Order: sequence, then structure tokens, then C-alpha cells
Amino acid sequence: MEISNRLLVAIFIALAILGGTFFFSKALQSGNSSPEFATVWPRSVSIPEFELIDHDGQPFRRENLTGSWQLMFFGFTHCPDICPATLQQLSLVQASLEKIGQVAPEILLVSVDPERDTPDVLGAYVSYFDANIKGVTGDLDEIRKLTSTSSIFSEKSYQGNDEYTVDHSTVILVVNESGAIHASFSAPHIIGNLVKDLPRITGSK
Amino acid sequence: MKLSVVLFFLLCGSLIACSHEDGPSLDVKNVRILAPLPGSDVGVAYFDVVNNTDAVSHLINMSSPQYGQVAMHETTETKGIARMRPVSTVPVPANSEIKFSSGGLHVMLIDPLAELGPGSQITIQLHFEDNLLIVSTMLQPRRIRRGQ
Repeated sequence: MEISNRLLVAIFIALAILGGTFFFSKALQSGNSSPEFATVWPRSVSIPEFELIDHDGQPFRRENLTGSWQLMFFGFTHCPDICPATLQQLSLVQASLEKIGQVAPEILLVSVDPERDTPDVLGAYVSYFDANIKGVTGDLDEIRKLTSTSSIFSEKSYQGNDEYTVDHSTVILVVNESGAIHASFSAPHIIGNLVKDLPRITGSK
Repeated sequence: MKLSVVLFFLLCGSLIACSHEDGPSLDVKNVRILAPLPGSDVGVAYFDVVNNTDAVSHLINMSSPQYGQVAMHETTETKGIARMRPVSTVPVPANSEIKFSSGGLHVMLIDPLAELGPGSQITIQLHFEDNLLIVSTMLQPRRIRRGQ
């Protein structure tokens, strides 16, 4: 009788340990795999064909978006505030991910002010922050193919004279290896949040 | 010409400093003036304006001997869209301070009158309705490179 009681207690403890381990591992697994700060799009949105040029004057097309993860930001070189801050943050995010051995997406600045952002201007601008950042510009209608797909807003705003600024979305798009928009980060962009979430999005260990 | 400008600033600074025995009624702290980025000749300045008086003080204009135009702007972000607009007057509440900072109110330094770069000495005059403040500091580079 005493033995069977002990056996029951042992079985109960063993089951409790097994159950606890199972639930703990599940909780840990879900905590590690779900981005906390990014919005993962319910369905990846494929970017249509477009014809732009990069800051080296080379053609930049949809095929250039495939094969690696990309962080895509829309801005312009005359942007005094938001764009420089975002490019600095993205550069530091990339460096942090490389440092911890994670997949570090490439960084892409798509100009929403192609009138002033020639390849030369864009090249000097992006390389000022980081030689790894690629600037893309071109015909506004071609840029619209990218912005309309991803619900990116941009509009010129004249400041009372010939000078203008460009109102624009501040979201960072995460483009997957197939050239489809997979997720996005809304502002404010916190370096630590991106560094924490991006491996969960790209699936790197 | 340069000597007269320096003397003018020193005189203004002295007048402001002497008019308040218990510290300045208006003050500027944490001044950062950042060099233009490649592709642009527009610099940007950030600082805190402190009003130590019991009355609101209105900042109505700014100027600089080094720039043709100094403009106050405000960046706002609504529903994920950043917009920058000029601001004509900035009220600094009594016994309070207003921050000119990245992502909010900031100062645009437009049309440099000479070639300027990191290390250049820049002076900005803050014109209030009934007061004048002068700040002067070196132009700083904007970038934060990897590892810095």
C-alpha cells in the first residue's frame, strides 16, 4: 500500500515536471519567434517590375531586390532631420546584427525627391553615413511603382517660395529574399528593437 | 569689419549678462550646430531656450552672420508621415524651457555666406520681442559612423 502511494507520488511529480517543461519550452519558443516591434504583413506583397538607377548610375530593378533581405526606407537628401537620423540608426542596426552573427539586411534609401537627388548627390549622401547603404533614384513614375505597392506616402510641400520639402512616410520596410515586402517597422525607430526583431523575421539563428 | 562684429557681440552679451543679477532671464543651453550633409548646404541647430522669468517670452526671429537665412522649423509626425513646416514665433512659457531638437522644433541654417565645415565658428542671434540672445559654437559633423 505504502509502495503504491509512493509510486503515485513519483508518477505525479514526473508528469508535473514533463508538463512544466513542455509549456515552458512552448512559451520560450513563441517568445523567440514572434517579432515584438515589427508588423509582419499577413501576406508578403510582391514588388512589381520597375526601372530605377542606383547611386553608382547602374540600373536598379526588381531583380536587385532578390537574393538577400533588405531594409527599405523612403527619404531625400534635403531632409534635415528624420532621414539622417534613420540612416544612422539603420547603419548601426546592420553593424549590431553583424557583430552578433545574425543576418544583416542590406540598407536601401529610395529617394522621393528625384528632382534634386541625382545619383551623384545621392551617392555622396548615403556614403557619408555608411558605405554599405545603397541609394536609389530615377523617374518619379517608376518610384511610384514602389511607393504605391507599399502604401508609402510622399508629397512636395512648398515653403512659401521656390524652396520645397517633401512630406513622406517614415516606415522601414523589410523586403525578403524573394523581393516581397514581408514586414515593416513604424517610427520611432529604436535600434535595439530592430536588432531584436530582425533575426526573428529573417529566421536567422 | 570682423573686429566690429566681435565687439558688437561682446557688447550685447555684456548688456544681457549685466541686466540680471540672479542669472539671465533668458538662457540657451546644450547648443549643437551641425554641418550640412552632402548634397545640401543647409545646416541645423539644436538647443534649449530657458525662460527664467514669470512671463512668457516670444522668440520671433533668428539670424547669423555666417548664413543668409536662419529659419525656425518644426517636424511633426502624424500617422507615420513626417512633415516639416516653418514656424514664425515660438512662445517660451514662464519659468520653463523649449527644446529645439531632432524630430521637433529645429533651426535651419540656409545660404552659407562663406565656405563652412566642421570646426567653423558659428554664431546665432535669437531675437525675442524684448530681448536678444547670442550663441556661438563650432560646427560639428553630423555622422555617427560604425563603432563610434
